[in-house]
Amino acid sequence: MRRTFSRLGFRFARTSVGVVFGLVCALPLRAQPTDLTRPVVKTHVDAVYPESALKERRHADVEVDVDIDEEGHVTNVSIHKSGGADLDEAAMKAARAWTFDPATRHGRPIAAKIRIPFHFSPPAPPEPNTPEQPVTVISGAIASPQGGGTTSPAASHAGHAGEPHTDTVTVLGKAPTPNRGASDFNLKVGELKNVPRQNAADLLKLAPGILLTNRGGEGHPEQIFLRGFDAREGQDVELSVGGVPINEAGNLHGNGYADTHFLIPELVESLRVLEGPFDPRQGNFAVAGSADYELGLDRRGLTTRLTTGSYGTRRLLITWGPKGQSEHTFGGAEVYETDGFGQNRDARRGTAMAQYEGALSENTSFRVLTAAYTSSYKSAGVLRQDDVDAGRKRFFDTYDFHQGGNASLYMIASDIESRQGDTLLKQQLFVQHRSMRLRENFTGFLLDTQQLRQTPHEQRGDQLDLSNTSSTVGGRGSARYKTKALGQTQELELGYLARFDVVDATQLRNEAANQIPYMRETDLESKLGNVGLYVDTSLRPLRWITARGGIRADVFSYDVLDKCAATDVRQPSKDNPPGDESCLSQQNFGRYRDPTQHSSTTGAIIMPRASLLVGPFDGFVLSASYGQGARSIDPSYVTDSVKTPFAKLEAYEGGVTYVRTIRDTELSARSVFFQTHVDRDLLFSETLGRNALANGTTRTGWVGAIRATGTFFDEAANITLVKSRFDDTGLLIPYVPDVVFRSDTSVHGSLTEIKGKSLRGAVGSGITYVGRRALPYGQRSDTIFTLDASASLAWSAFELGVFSTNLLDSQYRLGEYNYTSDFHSAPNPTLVPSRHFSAGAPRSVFVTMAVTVGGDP
Amino acid sequence: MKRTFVLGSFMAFFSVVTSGMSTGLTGCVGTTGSDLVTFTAEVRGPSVDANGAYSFSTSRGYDVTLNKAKMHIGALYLNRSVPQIGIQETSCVLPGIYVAQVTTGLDINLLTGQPVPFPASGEGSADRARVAEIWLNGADINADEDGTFVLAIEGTARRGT
Repeated sequence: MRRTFSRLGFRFARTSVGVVFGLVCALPLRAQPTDLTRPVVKTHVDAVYPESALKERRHADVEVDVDIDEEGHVTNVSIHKSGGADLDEAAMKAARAWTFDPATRHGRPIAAKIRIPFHFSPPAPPEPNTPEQPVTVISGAIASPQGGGTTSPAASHAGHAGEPHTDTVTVLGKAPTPNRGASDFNLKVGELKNVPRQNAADLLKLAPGILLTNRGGEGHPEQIFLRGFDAREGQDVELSVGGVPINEAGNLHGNGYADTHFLIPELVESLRVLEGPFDPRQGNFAVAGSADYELGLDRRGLTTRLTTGSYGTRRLLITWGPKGQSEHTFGGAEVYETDGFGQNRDARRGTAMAQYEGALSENTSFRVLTAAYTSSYKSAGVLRQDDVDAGRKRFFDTYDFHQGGNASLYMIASDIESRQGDTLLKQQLFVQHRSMRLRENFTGFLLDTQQLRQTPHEQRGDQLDLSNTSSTVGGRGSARYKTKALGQTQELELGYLARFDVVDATQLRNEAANQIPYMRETDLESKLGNVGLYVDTSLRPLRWITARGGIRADVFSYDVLDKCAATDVRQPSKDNPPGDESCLSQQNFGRYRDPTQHSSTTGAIIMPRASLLVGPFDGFVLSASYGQGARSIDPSYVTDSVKTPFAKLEAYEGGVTYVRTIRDTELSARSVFFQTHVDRDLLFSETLGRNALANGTTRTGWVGAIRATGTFFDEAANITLVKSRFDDTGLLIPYVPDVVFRSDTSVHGSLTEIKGKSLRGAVGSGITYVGRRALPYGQRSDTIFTLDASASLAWSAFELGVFSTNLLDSQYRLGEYNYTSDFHSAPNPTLVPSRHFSAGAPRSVFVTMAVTVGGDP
Repeated sequence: MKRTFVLGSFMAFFSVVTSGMSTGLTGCVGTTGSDLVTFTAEVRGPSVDANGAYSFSTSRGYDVTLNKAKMHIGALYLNRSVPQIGIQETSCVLPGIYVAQVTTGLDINLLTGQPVPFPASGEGSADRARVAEIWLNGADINADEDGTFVLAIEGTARRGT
């Protein structure tokens, strides 16, 4: 929520040396709400006039935007008005060290954003033959009177002393979600935007333990591995954008399938990843955890970005951030095309997104988000290792040139947030329409066995042709009440989620020779409902103890029309046997039946979730969490009037978080031990081309993560160690890595000054290491090690960069599998399990150019 | 554990020996049990007399002596499912039930009495096989025409001596 304040008073201080000062003041835009107070400076650190500017004895004004959290700490500093690279750095360095009494609403602290102007003027030149004066630290902070909210004298000053000045104080009232402990990651992209990323899904790697693979092509969602879960394309991770759920209930390729390719990565401001089901807000599919993308654009103005590089890759991106509007107001459109590496990997997509954030009143803000996305892509699928070893296939080849797919998404969502007294009310509505088609071939010519009723035929090919169209309408809302008790803030939140999905899904098998369907395996029309309610509390009996948690209850309803309910007849008629049809109109002894069948059922589950946080003690916070979660069942498994089975899970964890600012560096580190048990897991079946039910599983592991953000660098590194086993046999779960390491690094700063404007440089790198993954038949995959790197220069409105993915050009297998296939690559059929793989991308190099007009300098 | 074993006389005429297969947990799709193995397979004919001939009597009362017996084997498959007449699907390729294969064929003189190895290693999973299939095809199972002679024998057959 956005809030503006009336003019606030300030104190003006200036040392006798008087070369530099900064101030904080306010713009009189509205009457001061009586329930809002602005941040008040507690301590300030003065900017130091940089030696590099002494030679020119420059005078300059620098304005920095400062984010202040609920505890009054500066969380982010950015340049609003530049005075040159060295002066910008000096101002930012000083601003980071300031502390505040936080802004408040109804006496409760809230996050805020303020703008601080600094004026730099050089010290007086030393008298001849006298020792040179040291560069001087000047006091320049101006703070409003304690207590805030009183109107200041009319005259305020900024910039040069005595010069009238007004400025704004903007309070961002969007209440943060209460933290759930060491596995709750609020990941600000920040300068780590310099690390090469192919898409918005890549941002998930900022969270520990996430591995992304993709054997389906550039338009196919990434397969997510998290904490020992093979979450496929989202079945075990609840994904949302600004709270709008992205997982597709009832998608035939995977219940919970989530395609985030419609997100333009440059429009992602941050994301919250909560590993584990510990927050009552988490709903369906939050098995391994959840991730919510927060959208925003800090680069104001109209920016055009062109990227071109390896394999005929071209990308044009236009973003627009209207000056003077919130960072959460933006528009963006992208067109992308690539020929792809190796055979059959070309892809095209177009995306448009826009969001507007505005205020309806002093206490009420709203957002409207729209998105449109369409893509078409081809896929190389998998290769047999023995064919590559024998030279029958090259590493980046394909067997089936008809693999690939297309996808589209259209959505509109709006939310409104309002504070009424001590209660914060939120309401969100969303409508989505999605469609996808996917053609894959995992097994070649293996599954088309001759049935007695069929006309004699050879193996016609196993290509899957899956299509899924769904429409979703839904809403979610909450009311969060705060009060004071025991001298601490106590909170209670009640919330709900309701969504309704209509899904039409079919899966065909196509003949390899002519792409004509010869079999309809699945044809479902599903109407799915989900209503979830939750109660969440945040209780603080003591300042250093916080107990958070509550109950979540979900009801899932299914109304499934199976339009291909009969595919076989156990006792066929001898006189009139069924023929080649896929969906039969016969039952035993030739009696007629309609090929369709209806199934309706519901299921309900109640899930407790709780977290205990103890601290902080000198920067350390200890936490322990427990939670239960659920994954709704795939509509294809629904039986009429039979209570819907769920995949239930229990998760435990204990961890410690350390947060501290050391000089100019913000440091955070985490260590978490966890265990998760699922009573009915899902595993990928190559013959089905999708997930199939499996037995209970347990995952036990450890996560370590660190992030250090300084004035010229940003480093995030994490490692996850996990053992994932079946409960009954103790065997390892296939395809899941037991070691994942990731490092994201950005180094940035001003290099020099050209025509009074800073030339900024940045380099970034992303390192991924994935340990050997367990495979069927007691095998292990190879390890994966990749390095991505980037370098860029920015001056004035222009930016030029180069980046490379897989810089070391390591030949790696992104996915590895052991199963049976027969691609007719040998004279005789191959009928026993063998190693298959999907190739990882080779080294790719791209150049990107951007120019911004109408924005900040 | 490695061992050598004989699959048994599924044909009285010759036998196949595999070696190098290891036993392990029962494999199951979707789990990480069992193991993948490679092995060598050999084929030999029956024991022959001093003249290099093989003699036997049939149930219909013929005494047969073979002086020449050459055979082409297209492939060898080991199967854990026993076909049952009447309810078995008619396809010759049933997915998911094979545990081992040798897909490179060979020609063998069955009357040498010596084992002849397949030219390439076999592969499979460490699961128990119950049936072996000898595929008597030529070079390519998918070829429209296959003119390969799979068995050439010469000899004499006398009745009621």
